[in-house]
Order: sequence, then C-alpha cells, then structure tokens
Amino acid sequence: MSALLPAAVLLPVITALACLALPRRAQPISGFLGGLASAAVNAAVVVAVTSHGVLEHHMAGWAPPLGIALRADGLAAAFVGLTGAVGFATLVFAASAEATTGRRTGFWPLAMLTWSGLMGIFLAADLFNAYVALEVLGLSAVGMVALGGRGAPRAALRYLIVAVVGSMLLLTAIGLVYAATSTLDMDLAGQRLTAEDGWLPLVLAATGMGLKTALVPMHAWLPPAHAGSPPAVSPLMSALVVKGSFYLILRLWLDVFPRNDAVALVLGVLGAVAVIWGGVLALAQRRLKRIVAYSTISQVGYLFLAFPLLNLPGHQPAMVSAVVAMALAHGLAKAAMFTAAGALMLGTGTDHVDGLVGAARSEGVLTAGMILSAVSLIGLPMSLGFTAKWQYLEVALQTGAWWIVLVLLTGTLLAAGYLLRPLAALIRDSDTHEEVGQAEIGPRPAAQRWVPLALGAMAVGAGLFTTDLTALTSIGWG
Amino acid sequence: MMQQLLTAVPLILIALSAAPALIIFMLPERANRTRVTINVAAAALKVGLMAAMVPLILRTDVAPELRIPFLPGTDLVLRIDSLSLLFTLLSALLWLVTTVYAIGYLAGRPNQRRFFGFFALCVTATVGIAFAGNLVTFLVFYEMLSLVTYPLVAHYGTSGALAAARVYLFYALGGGLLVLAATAWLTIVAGPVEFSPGGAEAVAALARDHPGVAIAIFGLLVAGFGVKAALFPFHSWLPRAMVAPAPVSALLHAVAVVKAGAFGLIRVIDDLYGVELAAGLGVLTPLLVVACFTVLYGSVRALLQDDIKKRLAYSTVSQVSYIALGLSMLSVVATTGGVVHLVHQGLSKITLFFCAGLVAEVWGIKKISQLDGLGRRMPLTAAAFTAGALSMIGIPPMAGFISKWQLGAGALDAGQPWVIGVLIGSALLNAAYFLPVVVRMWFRPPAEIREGPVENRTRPVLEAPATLLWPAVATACFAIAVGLFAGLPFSPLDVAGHIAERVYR
Amino acid sequence: MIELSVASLTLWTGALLTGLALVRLLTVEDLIARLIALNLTGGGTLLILVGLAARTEPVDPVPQALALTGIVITVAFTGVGLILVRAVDDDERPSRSADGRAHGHDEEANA
Repeated sequence: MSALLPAAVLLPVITALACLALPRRAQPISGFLGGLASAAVNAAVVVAVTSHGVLEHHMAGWAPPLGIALRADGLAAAFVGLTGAVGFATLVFAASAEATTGRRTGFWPLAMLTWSGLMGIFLAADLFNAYVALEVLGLSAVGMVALGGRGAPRAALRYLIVAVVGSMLLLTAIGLVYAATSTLDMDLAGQRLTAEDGWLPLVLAATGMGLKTALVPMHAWLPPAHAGSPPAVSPLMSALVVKGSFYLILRLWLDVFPRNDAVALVLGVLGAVAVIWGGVLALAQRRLKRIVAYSTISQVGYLFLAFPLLNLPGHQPAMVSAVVAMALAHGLAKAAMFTAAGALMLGTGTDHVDGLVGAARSEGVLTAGMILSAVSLIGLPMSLGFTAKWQYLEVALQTGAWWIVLVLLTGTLLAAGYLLRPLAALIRDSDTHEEVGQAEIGPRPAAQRWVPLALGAMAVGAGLFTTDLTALTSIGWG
Repeated sequence: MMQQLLTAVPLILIALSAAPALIIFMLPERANRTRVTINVAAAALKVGLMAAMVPLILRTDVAPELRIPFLPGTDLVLRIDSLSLLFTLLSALLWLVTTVYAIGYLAGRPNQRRFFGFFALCVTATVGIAFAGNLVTFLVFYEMLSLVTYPLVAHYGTSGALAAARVYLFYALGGGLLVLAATAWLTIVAGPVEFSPGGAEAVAALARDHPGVAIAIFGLLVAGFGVKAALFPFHSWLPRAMVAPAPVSALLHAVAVVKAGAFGLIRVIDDLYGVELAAGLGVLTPLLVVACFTVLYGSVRALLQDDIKKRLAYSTVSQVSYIALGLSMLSVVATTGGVVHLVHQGLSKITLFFCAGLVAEVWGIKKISQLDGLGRRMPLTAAAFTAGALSMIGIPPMAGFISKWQLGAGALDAGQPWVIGVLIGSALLNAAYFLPVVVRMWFRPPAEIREGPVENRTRPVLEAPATLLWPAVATACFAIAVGLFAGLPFSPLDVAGHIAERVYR
Repeated sequence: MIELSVASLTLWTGALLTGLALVRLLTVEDLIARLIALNLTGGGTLLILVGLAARTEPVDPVPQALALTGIVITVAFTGVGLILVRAVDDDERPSRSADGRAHGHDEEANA
C-alpha cells in the first residue's frame, strides 16, 4: 500500500522523461497516458488514506535520517487529490489542441515535472526533501511560464527570481532549524524546536513562502506570469503551483514551528489586505485572464487569513479543515476559470471583456462551467467555496475575530463584482447593442468545453462532501 | 415504503422545475415548439401534484422531509409543511400562467432559450426556498434565486438593463450576506436550528440567556430578508428592475424575488423565533413601524409616477410591507392576514403587470396619461386591470379586501389601533393612484397614440393575442375568486388560518 | 565581545552577503546584473549553511549536504536564467520601437 507514495512522485517524472524523448507530435499521447496513470495513483492515495489512515514509506528500505521518507496523512491526501483532479483535467484540455500549450515545445515534460514536484512537497516527511521538491516545482513552473507569447520571457525571469529568493529563504530557515534540533525530520524537529530558536526560521520561511504564493505585498509578479501563460499553463500555475508553497508553510506551521502569535497576526493581516486589494485590482481589469489572475491574489489572501485562527487552541482541527476546503475550492474553480478563459481566447483571439459579448450563445457549456466556478469563487452556497467560508466564519465568530468576519463578507461582494463583468458580457445579447459586436468564436473542441464545466461542477458539488473532507483532513494528526 | 416515498416528494417537486431548465438549455434556440411543450407540461404537472397534496398535508399533518448531510453539524433539510405548500402552490400556479404569457410575449424574439432556462431555474429556487427546513437550506436557494434572476432582469442587454440588473444583484447579494452572517452566528450560539411552527427551542433558550445576541441576530435576518422584500430603506432596486420584460416583472413582484424576502420574514418571525418570543424581545414594534412607514412611503412614491410599470413597482413596495405589518403584530388574526396577503397580493399584482405588458405590447402605451379610453380599445384587458386595481385598494369582495380586513381586525386584537389609521391612509392613497387610472380607462374618450407597434390604429377594438390576454384574465378571476370564496375550506384564507393557529400554540 | 571563530565569521559574512545581494537584486534594472545578484543571494545563503555546519566539532555533514544541493540548484537556475535573458532579448528587440511603450505600460500596471 505504501508503495503508492513513491509511485505518486516517480510516475510523473518517468512520464516527463518519456515526453522529452519523443517528438512534439507524440508528446500529448504519452503525456496524457502518464497523466491518467498518475491521476489514478493520486486517487488511490486518497482512498488508501481514507480507509487505512496515515501511509508512510521509506525509499529502498532506508529509514531516516539517511533514507528518504514519504508520508501521507489526511492533509497531504487532500492536496494529492486536488492535484490529480486538476492536473488530469488540464492535461485533457491541453491534449485537445496544440495551441493550448504555447508556441514552444516543452509543455508536457514541464507539466509532468511540476506534478512530480507537487507530489514531492505534499508527501515529504523531512525538510530537505520538501526543499528539493520545491525547487523542482519552481524551476519547471518557470519553464512553463516561458512557453507563453510576447512578454512571457520577462515574466518568467521575474518569476524565476521570486522563486529562487523564496526557496533560498526557506533553505536558510531549514539550516537554522537543523542547527537548533540536529534533525531534518519534520516531526522530530517539531518536538525539539523551542520558541526561542523557532522564530527566526519561521519568519524566513513565512517570508519565502509568502513570496512564492504571491501574498500581498509580494504579489506583483503573479499577474504577468499567470495571465501571460499559454491556456493550458495558467490553470496549473494558479490552481496548483501556488498551493505547493502554501502547503509547505502550512505544514511547517502545524508540524515544525512553535506557536507564534505575532507572525500569525502579520500573516492574517496581510491576507486580509490581499483579499480586499486583490479584489479591487481585479475590478479594475478589462481582460479576462488578468481578472482571473488578480482574483488569485485575492483568494490567496483567504488562505493566509487562516493563520491567526489556526493558532487558537481547540479550533485548530476545524480551521485546518476550513483552509483545506478553501484551497481545494480555489484550485478547482480557478482551473475551471482559466481553462474557460483560455478556450475563449483561442476561439476569439482576444480575452478583452468587450470581445466576448454574446459568446454564451455558441459556448453554453463553457459558460455554464464559468458560472459554476464563479459561484464557488464568490462563495455562494452550496459550493465548496461556501462551506469553506462558512467554517472560517464559525471559528471567527466563536473567537470574536470580527475583523475576519468583515473581510470574508467584503471579499464575497468584491468577488461578485469582478466576476460579474466577464460573465455579464458572455450572456449578454448583442442584438440590441450596436456599439459592441457579437463575438465570433471559432468552433472549440469538445474537451475545451467540457473540462471547464466538469471542474466548475466539481467545485460546486464538492460542497456536499464537506463533512467527508473534514474527516479526511483530520486523519493523522491533532 | 410510504416513508421513502414521502422523502422523495420534495426532491421530485424540485426536479420538476430544474429538469425543464436543463432540457431547455440543451435544446437549440429554434426548438420553439418543444420548449413550449416542456414548459407548459412541467408547470401544469406541478400544479396538479401540489393541488393533490393540499388535503394530505393539511388534514393528516404529514411533513415529507429529506435530509442531506452538508456542513459539519448542519444538514440540508427539505420539508413540506402547510406554509411551504401555500407558497409553492401559488408559485406553481403563477408559473403556469406566466409561462403561457411569456410564450406569447416573447414570440419571435431572440434569446428565448436563455430566458426560459433561467425562468425555470428561478422557479426552482422559489420551490427550494419554500421547502427549506432550516436557515442554511433557505440560504442555498435564496442566493441561487439572486443569481438566476440576474439574466432575466438584464434580458434586453441595453446599458440601462445591465445597470439595473447589476444594482439588483448587489442588493440581493448584500442581503444574502447579512443572512449568512446571521445564520453562522446563530449556529454558533444556539447550535443548528430548524424551523418549527411557533419557534425553535434553541432560539428560545438563547433569548433567555443572551437577549442582546438574539435581538442582534433578528435584526440581521430581518435586514437581509428586507432587501428582497423591498422594505425601506432597501427598496430602491425594485423600481429600477422594471427594465426587465413584463413577464419577468410580473413574476418577480408576485412570487419570486420580493416574495422570497417576505417568505423569509414569515419563517424567521413565526417558525424560528416564534411571534410571542419576538414580541417579548421587543423586536416586533420597530419592524411594525418600518413596515407602516414603507406602506405609506411606497404609496406616496407611486402616486408621483407617470410610468405605468414604475407606479406598479412602488405599489409593490407598499403592498409587500403589508405582509411584514401583519407578521409584526401579536395576534393570530393579524398573522393570518399577513400570510394570506402573500397570496392575495401575488394574484392581484401579477394581473396588473400582465395588463401593463399588454397595453405596452399592443398599443405601445407606457404612460398612465396615455391610458384614456382603453376600456373601448381593449375591454377585457381594461376589465382585468380594474379587477386587480380594485383588489389592491381593498374594495369588497376582492382578495385585497380580505387581507386588509384581517390586518385591521388583527391590529385591534393586538392592541395597536393606530395601525388602522395607517391602513386607511394607505387605502386612500391606493385609491388615489389607482382610481384615476380606472376612470381614465372607462370614462374618457380614447386618446390618439402616435407611436407604437400597432400599424392599424384606426381599429376601435384590438385586444392582445390569446396567449397574452387569457393569463391576465385568469389571474384577475383568481383574485376575485379567492375573495368571494374566502370562507370555503382550502381557500388561501383557510390555509393561512391553519398556519397562524399553529404558530400560536 | 563577539567571539570571532571561523564558524561565526562565515555565518555573518553569509548573512551580510545575502542582505547586500538582495538589496542589489531589488534595485538594479539590467537583467544580467539582476541574475548575478540572484546568484550572490544564493552564494550568501550557502555560506550561512556552511557557517552553521562549522559550529560543531567535528563539522556536521548534513548542512554541508544541504549546501552541496544548493550549489547544484544555483547552477541550474543560473542556466535557466541565462536562457531567459536571451529569450527576453529576442522577444523585445525587434519590436522595441513599436511595442516598447505598450510593454512599459504593462509593467506599470503590474507594479
């Protein structure tokens, strides 16, 4: 059973290598098959953790500290499941047309390396593996951003600098943790680390991961990198890659670092600012992919908003479940948004909101997917976005954190505001309006219609499985 | 077996509205005939099913119920009690007539697929609201309603329509947020609470221990539902939303949006807090004052409008507050009046909106000053409008009279005789803005109409096509019938009486 | 008084180097200079790790292994960075006159 864990990490790597060896024309087939197999392994990990509890595997039988240990608890399994769903859906989308993967070759191996990096982060049981996996993730993500059109190399370079600085900060933090505890094992380090030794590496790691997750005020790199990427890359970047660095700081927060209220408050306040400011910036955008990218900044704010609440004794399990639900909801909905935006952009040649007027007439399925994903991003019931927000609200109200309640409610209205503009354009009737013409949409392959719908439906439908998700995340700790 | 069947009933009724929506969205735009068939068949089937359930639920006290685990500790609960039955029956009936009307109204126009699809979703949300057994379930459908109504209000796609729809959406979502905050707060302090006639135990305990918190939550809930119910000062979206096509305005005002807010108020006051508890907390009097003010304010504003639909919109602001007015008095008669007005106002108002759409469609008339002599041009339409207007004013034996009589008697019963002054004042104002219209229609010579869709304006009598005319005539007849036969068993008044009695245990 | 052992000297040099390189990274415009600053940030970080390793007797191998991995990754990102710098050049040179303004505007909007 525990052999699933190395398979989850290595299968994508093998697929990536296979894709590298093949010519571009053969890459989608092999990448798709590898993605299918990897997604199946991811699903198996989720099922295994649900039914058998925590999984642990020592590579080649070597136990730590010498060997590499992989570990999957409920928290990890939830993110593994997200990666399987979103990753596979995006690969289906990418296989539908070569234009989705950018003008250069390289999408398939890079996407599978990204997948593998994510698995490495989610399943790492020691700090060093987590760091290496983070580097794999960062470098392959930089490569994917560079696949985009005009302006992409500059965005990629900027992202590279962000990624490297972020992981260097993490590396220093890991060095300091090791110096204080003489171990790299997360659990052991967590037992030995004192508050006195813990605060500096915590600040360094939080800064580094905040930078890589685009926490305000370190967010400026994200919109060009996410919005400028090819249609099949943006969903991976926004739904999954930022989750990698967020997962790591969450994991370190829960397992390694001692409680630190000051850092928690700073992270929470920055998250609150991100929710509002990201929403305001998104309101000002007129291009669909930019709107969606700024929405990511706002949604990342919700994730960091959880830290002050995560600190409170007695509320931690509820809050972990809430933040995982939030991350999953965002991942599914954002992937739906970006695949839909990419398909519309390929169909119309633009992603300016005025160029999409009336597109719902011929692209009804795709529009339905966007509406469903908007329901979850705004946080309307009964989507997963809603249940996540509900759990935040419960804890915030119980502990009297009124400012968080206020941020949650304001963020909801802001999200409705910035998502209404593109959706209103899509379902609008251009007959009665001469100044903007009807969008001319080239026929889209079926995959480009149904992938957004499937992801959007998952984001909404998953709300009904909130209790199962809560049960899953509680496995293995607390 | 019987039990399982009962569990499935709420789901079947919701599916009966949702399935047509999905099918319509999948059909191509040109499939007019199929769309019409599906729409009318589903609507008629639902009316039949609901009507068949009336004796079952009222006589035997069965409450078909469905539970789905949703949030930790909170289920999605769909339950059909007598109040939900009353509301769904109204919505099913009016859905049927409005569908027929809309088919005629939109014939030959673009975007019918979008219109009828979201129309059916709108009705689905209304049914869900009626069946909701707790606040969380209510909220699910309440927000769904906000969302699916947006494309209907924005249907014409003009910048005015888009702006009005945006205002509507943000008012509605803002109201939903207040309800969400209140629901979350209530769940934390009182546990997961479900609706039960006369109020929930946990809320009573909360009001005993922390009356301040209970009052604050009540305030949030009333404000949140007040937005959709167009209570002052949250009413200004309603007149703006008049840019929507006539069938949308009709449904919005009569059953769907405005009534969802009013229905929420009923649930909160009668089934969550319990009217006695709310009176004990002292929260009813402020609500009564706001409702009275809105009644008068809406009437005064209506008096100042020349645009027919605007006047009707402000009239709705005023009329819907009668429901809140009835609910906020501690008397079984007043509660009956509030609940029954939900139905009576719906029937009368939808008639008026149908007629307003008719005259605009056929003669291009949008202003009240152009209505001179309509009685000679469109006798049936004018008659239906007159019936609706008289009912609104409260002339016996129309529907509106019955509710106002109940409210007045309730005011005396509750020891708030000053409310009768408000009722009389409002009736006079209603008469002031409806009677001149009626007089114009019947007693003035037809005015010349220069612009409009009718090519042959010389014809003296030109009624609307049957699909437009008969729904209006039918609802007018309903409005008269529920007044005339209010004393019979299973009349809306009878059902409302049952509901009110259960609230005062 | 601070005891100036080899270990703490390395540690403080590394910290100083990282700090200076970060400042340079944030302030410099030229892409190659940026990349070099990034490289120096990496170097400083690795010095910190080496300094941490040298604090015990005998020298702890684990931070050194971390530093070694760090070196490999530094090489990797420097290579990727150089490729990207060339790509930026290719991307922007031919249309600099026509498109340059639009790009500048874009950057402004992101900041």
